Amino acid sequence: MNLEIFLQYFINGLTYGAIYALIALGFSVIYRTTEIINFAQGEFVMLGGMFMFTFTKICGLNLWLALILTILTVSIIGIIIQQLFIRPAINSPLVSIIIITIGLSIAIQTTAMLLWGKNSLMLDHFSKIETIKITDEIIIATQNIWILAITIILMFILHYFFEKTMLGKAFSACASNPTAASLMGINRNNMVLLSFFISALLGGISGAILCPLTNVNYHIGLSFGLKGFCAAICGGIGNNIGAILGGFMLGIVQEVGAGVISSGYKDAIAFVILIIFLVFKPSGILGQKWTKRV
Amino acid sequence: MKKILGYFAILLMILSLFANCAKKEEQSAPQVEEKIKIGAIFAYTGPASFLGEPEKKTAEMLAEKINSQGGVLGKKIELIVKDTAGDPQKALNAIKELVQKDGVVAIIGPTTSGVSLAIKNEMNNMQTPLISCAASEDIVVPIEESKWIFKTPQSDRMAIEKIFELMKEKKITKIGLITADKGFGLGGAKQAEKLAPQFNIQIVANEKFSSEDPDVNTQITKIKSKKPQAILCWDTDKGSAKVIKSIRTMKLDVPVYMSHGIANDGYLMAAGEAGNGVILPCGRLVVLDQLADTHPQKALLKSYSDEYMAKYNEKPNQFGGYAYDSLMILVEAIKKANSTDKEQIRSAIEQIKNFSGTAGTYNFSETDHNGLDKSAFCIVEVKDGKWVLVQE
Repeated sequence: MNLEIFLQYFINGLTYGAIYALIALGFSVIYRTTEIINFAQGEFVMLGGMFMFTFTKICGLNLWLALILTILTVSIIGIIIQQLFIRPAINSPLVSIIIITIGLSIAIQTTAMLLWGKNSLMLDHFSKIETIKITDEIIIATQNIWILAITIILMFILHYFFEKTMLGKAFSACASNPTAASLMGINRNNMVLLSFFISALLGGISGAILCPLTNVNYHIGLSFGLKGFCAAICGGIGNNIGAILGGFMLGIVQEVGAGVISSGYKDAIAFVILIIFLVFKPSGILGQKWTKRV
Repeated sequence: MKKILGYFAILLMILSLFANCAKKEEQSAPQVEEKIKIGAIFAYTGPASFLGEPEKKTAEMLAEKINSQGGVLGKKIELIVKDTAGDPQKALNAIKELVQKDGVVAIIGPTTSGVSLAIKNEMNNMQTPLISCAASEDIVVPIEESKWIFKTPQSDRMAIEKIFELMKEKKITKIGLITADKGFGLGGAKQAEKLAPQFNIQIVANEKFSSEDPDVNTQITKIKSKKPQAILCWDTDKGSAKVIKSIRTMKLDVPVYMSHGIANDGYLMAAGEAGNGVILPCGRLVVLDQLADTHPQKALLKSYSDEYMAKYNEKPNQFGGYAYDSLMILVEAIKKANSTDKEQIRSAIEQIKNFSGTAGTYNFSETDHNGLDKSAFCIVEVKDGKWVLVQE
């Protein structure tokens, strides 16, 4: 096996890993506060791509302005969804809420289909120079660098937010013990709202930075949601660092596996990893044992 | 209050049930035998909807036109369109409903090769003619298992033969193959593997990708390491756009050949600049303006294109053309058989010769349920984001 080719697979895997990590984080953040698995998470990614297309290609806005607007729009959609659909049902059994999120996913997809049509839409890369050639075998798309850089910056910001700010600490408190947190005067509803805001924001960003590399159409969210979910489970759902590790692990193993073994088994590789984790370490890389709250 | 509402809801439901029954009786009583019912199943939602939608629109437009010209055998046709969403299970339910409940005489569609293959057996069991709008040759081969199955698009086998001929002219002997892991892509891969030795072509890399993969950089990296002289990519437009983008990103500078499945403007839109330079065999609709006026297909293509533009205010594509051909062939067969008996329609389709369609001239026979030959293809190259005719 040629080392250079192996490195190329690894680089491809890193990009996927970054995206999966962002989506897994989205799952994780909502799960921590509510124990809900939000199956509409992948749709935020799709919406991120779609709004990025709308703002850059249709409105002709500057890239960074478009990026900020995209993130804002998708986050607001996240808030609206929480207010309209999740909040009224927040005291229902978990299964009901999870089914609501599945319904939401279908509704968002269909709406996107009606708004943006059924064709794949193309976005421009962030940089004019699209690729950097290192050797004959190793070629890096500049968009890959953007994706990695933005992901890492975002992770530091989130880390700072959860560990150092009052709001972030309140959020963590609410996640680990909602009753005690509410006795301390933390409004759980607001924290749930915050979790949807953050996870929609993460989804929106990942869509906006990923879609220049691929294309965007109304049904890309589903597979990203699934892979992100895999990553979240592998990393230990509810654990932010775990989600990041899970995402990168999944992305890299999947791409290297596809390259070395066969691309026909690409998805199979991802799901075999999921099954291995579910059987041998259901709590994930960093997760605590699953316990039921009494 | 809630209880009352609940009762009210139940009452409403019961009422609506009655209303439905009443309506049905009303409809079915006088209209029996008045109309010829034709089923159509297209994937007008779901991942293949960019193919299914023009098919549905075309079929509906054409049915309207046929009826305004007096219908078939003095009866109006009633086109019952159902959505498959590209899902084999939904398609199976749809064909059962169409045949058993609606009592259609034949079905046109479905959109994709995978779904066509999935419903093949059931159509044979129900002994109802199906004219598929999907390209894989396996749909109508072997003929013993395809008694009731026909299809209008040019076969993948012929397209690949055409491409291999071009490659042979350019003395290309080593190619990298990249195909989608679904019906159409798998069919293409199978044909390419089978035909390559005949043209002294060696497939040095054989990769698959899924429609859900965001990019195929890994597959292209692998192909690149095998140093092929050309790439053959087999998928419809979305997937192919993804492949060509990755080929350009990975700087794999060899000629790229693709399938007739990309021949619609969706590919140009999704691939952008990266899409230039690709060579493919396809039907003549995309290069209608560049055809010589004397070309036998030009008049038909132009009238289809104009009517579609007038009705929907958008350009038609070859997929709509397949639906056009399917319905026209079916109508022709019904006229020929002078009956709506399924067996007679089936054998009448086999008798259709020299029938001009949007995809080419059809010559069906008992052993050929596609009816097209290689002359149905022209060679097109993508240049500056446009389809350019290379070989008529």
